[in-house]
Amino acid sequence: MRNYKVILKETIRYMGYGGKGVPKDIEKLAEESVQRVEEVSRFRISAKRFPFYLLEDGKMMLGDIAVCSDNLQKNLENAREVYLFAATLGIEVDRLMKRFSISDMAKVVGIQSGAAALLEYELDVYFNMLKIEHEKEGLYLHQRFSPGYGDFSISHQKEILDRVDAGKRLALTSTEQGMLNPLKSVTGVVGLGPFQKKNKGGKCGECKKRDCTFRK
Amino acid sequence: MESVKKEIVHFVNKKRLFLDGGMGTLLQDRGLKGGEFPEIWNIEKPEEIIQIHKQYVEAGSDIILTNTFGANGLKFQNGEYQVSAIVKAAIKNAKAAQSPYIGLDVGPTGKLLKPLGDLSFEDAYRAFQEVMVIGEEEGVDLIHIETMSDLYETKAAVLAAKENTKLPVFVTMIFDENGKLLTGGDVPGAVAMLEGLRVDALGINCAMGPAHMIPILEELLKYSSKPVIVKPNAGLPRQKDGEVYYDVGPEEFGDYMEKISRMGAGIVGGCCGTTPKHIKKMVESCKTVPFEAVKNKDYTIVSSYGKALILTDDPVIIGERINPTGKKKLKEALVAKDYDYILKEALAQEEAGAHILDVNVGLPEIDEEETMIHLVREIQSITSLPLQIDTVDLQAMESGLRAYNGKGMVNSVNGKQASMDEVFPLVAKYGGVVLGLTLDENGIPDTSEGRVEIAGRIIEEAKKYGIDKKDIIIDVLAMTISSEPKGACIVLEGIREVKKRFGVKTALGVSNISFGLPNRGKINSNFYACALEAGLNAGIINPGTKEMMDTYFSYRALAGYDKNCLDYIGYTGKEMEPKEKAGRDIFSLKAAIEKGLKDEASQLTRKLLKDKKPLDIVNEDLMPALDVVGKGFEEGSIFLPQLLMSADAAKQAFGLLQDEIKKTGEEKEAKDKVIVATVKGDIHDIGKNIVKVLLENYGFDVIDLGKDVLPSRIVEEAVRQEVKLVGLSALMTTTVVSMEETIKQLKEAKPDCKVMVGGAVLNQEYADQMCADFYGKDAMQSVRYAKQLFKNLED
Repeated sequence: MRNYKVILKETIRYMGYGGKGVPKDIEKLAEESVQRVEEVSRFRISAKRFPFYLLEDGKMMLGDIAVCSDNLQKNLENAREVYLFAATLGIEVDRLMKRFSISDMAKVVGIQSGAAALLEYELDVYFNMLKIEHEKEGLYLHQRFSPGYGDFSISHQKEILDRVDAGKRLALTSTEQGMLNPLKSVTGVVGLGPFQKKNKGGKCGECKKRDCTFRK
Repeated sequence: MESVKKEIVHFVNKKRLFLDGGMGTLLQDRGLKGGEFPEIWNIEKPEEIIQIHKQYVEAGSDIILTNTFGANGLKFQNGEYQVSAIVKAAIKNAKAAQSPYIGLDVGPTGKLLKPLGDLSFEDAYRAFQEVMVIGEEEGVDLIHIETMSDLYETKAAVLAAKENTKLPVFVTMIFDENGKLLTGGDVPGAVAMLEGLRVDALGINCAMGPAHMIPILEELLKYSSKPVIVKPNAGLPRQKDGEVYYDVGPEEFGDYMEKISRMGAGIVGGCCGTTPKHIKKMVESCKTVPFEAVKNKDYTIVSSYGKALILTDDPVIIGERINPTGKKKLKEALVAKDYDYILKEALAQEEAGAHILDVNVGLPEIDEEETMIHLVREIQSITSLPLQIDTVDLQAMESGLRAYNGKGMVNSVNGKQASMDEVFPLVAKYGGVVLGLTLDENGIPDTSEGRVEIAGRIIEEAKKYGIDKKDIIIDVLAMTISSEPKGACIVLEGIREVKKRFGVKTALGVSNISFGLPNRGKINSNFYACALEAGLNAGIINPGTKEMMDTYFSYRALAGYDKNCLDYIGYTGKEMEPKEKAGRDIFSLKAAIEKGLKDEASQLTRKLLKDKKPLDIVNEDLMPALDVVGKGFEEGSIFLPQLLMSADAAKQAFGLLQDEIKKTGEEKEAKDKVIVATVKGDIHDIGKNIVKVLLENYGFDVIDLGKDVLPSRIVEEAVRQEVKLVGLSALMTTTVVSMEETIKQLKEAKPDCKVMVGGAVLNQEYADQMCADFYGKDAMQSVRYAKQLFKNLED
């Protein structure tokens, strides 16, 4: 069972109402949007575990993918392995947004926010389960980190899609420019190591974008 | 096998055929690294590939598939090897294994097709065509298209095979545990489309093990008149100590495949994780299972990318509104390429209860073929209702059917030999359920017997093209009773007789019956009830008409099609629902817009129009309200959703005012034109759409060029329409390059045109670097800039 309250709260935050008074109409819009997204979306994830190590030239190896990124390196400090993952809510969410963009842009914003909230929620559920499993063997998961965050180049998106077989398993593809298709999808890296990382500032803790509207 | 090799089609549906098993997993075991293309091994390590093929031949495979799953020009664009070299090497390796038959393996392109993705149908077609032509030249025995999750891409692949080779075509798709394609389609929909395209066998592969495929196989066998292929994975992939393994061993796999063969699968093999051992066990287990050929099924199915619609005695509605005949606004929209208007019409009909939408864009002023292609694709990107391609222009009909995603309806063929000679080949090629009109060279017979006789001829002639009567719906043609007193009786008798004699489904354009009479709704709805009682399967009606929908829901309840009368209760319940009024003491249009209440805004605009001129309402009520909201947004007291709710409410009011202005001929100033577009390579258009709505609110004539737009197209439109302002949107750093290029080209071709830019990754610095004239941090800033710019130009 999904925790509807959490999804709704996040939806409202993505709609721009972070902790401020939320008008009744907007609350209703958020509720309806989450409901529509839940009706049409199909969350799917493909995650695979790979070895993680540092090369002498400062590059990191995520399985066979070589990455240069200070921000990711910090996130993966002390990690021994990584999960590469790709996840999507499916193409019907795109159709729903397109449908409303003809007559009701407010609903598009609602659905876009609801979809973002639902995707994050499902990822939290998935990785929490993994976290519990791994903690039994004394291993800890790091925060999710996606291409495009900080200096982790978006160009790695295609490699991650390939390594987790996202085309076949999720019908999740990427455009020439590295945009994910369907739109409400995400790729990323989750470190796995022997130390529990202290996570200051929650999900937004590691992000340098201090002026972000959605910062928690 | 016979000493003289017979073509593989000789055995399809005559004996069980065994395919091979997995390739990728075996190559990984032999050292294929992550990220390395398995197809390259055809050239670099041919001996490994030949060895695997040989093992499958030894295990008992009748058909081995070439190692060409991902070999296409889109994937191998700039690599070390040409696609042609890879495919030729792959076929050479397969031949070296001396397999009885070789199938050219064709997987998906790895791209999502337009309009939701960035690959055009034509480019996908070309990529498949290239490989398939080489396959035939190099001597493969069949084309095996597999692991497809998108019906539209599958259609491109099948057409590429059918139009460029003479080879038999097998297709397997990837369904999930709910029997759905990853892109949304269901089993009957996929079967209907593939059968319509006349593939030789169809089925399922990958994604799951044999046990989970059984319920999907049941459905495939229920609907398919073609032999069914089943290629499961060796169970589910699991990971232990960093190694991936599959959890169904050869013995268990063999047992499952025996069961699957007994159920009726005619062509069996394995997918990911299966090995020659799995295939050997499969062949051994299935040997004793008697083969049973697939029988023809009798379902009349129309489908789109989503859910299939199976026509039964329970009647359905074909929405007739997308047709310019007698519809001034729709005509104007088609001429002005205001496709949003038509898309809204499609959605309104869906919401009113239509099951299929008729699409007719026949106007002498427009390019019907081009408009048909565009609208078919656009309508299919917002609704999963099947469409009925309605045209007398054969070129538009063919292009519409080609562009269509699924198995659509064709409106229409008639009893004239020329019509049948032209239309049936298209139905035979693309698939479809075709509407047969009972008229011929002598016109429309004035007896039901005459019309039934023509129906019979249409059905017979269709057989010559291999079109089964399940794919023909007869329309016995309602003629107005104002000139033909027996018109209604002839139709009702005709419907009964056509169904009795031929067992086909029927359709009818109902409202023709009342042409020339006053209060047509009364006659139409009563006649509709009679026609339904006579057995009408698909009424072509306006679902926005209350009387017709009253009849439809009442009839279904009375005839026992509506279980527990739930649909009827839902329908009438909606009617009885009190309009939401609580807490909405809105007395002014201004307040309605500020609060973003659409219905109230419409009602109050209508009320105001009784005493006020439309332009006065714009200036005194609408604009001040929008300004209040706009300022609130800029000051941070209200947020984007509220701004847009107000914009949508204002749009409703504007719509009514514009209608009034047209009616009264009140002077209207020419609007300032603004182009908006999301740049090439960028498929995110929410930001652009927000700016568009707000600009329209403020009275601009917005030319929306859509998303993923080439710089040259933006420049061309700006020059052609003498546009002074272009708004560009880009979401990612990777597409900002296209924005820069567009600005460069615009500045060269039309130096007086200003460019404003916006999007998540942009900032003032980026905008300055690209020489944009303005950077809008949010949508309101863009509106303010546009207003100021045109004010300055006027001064």
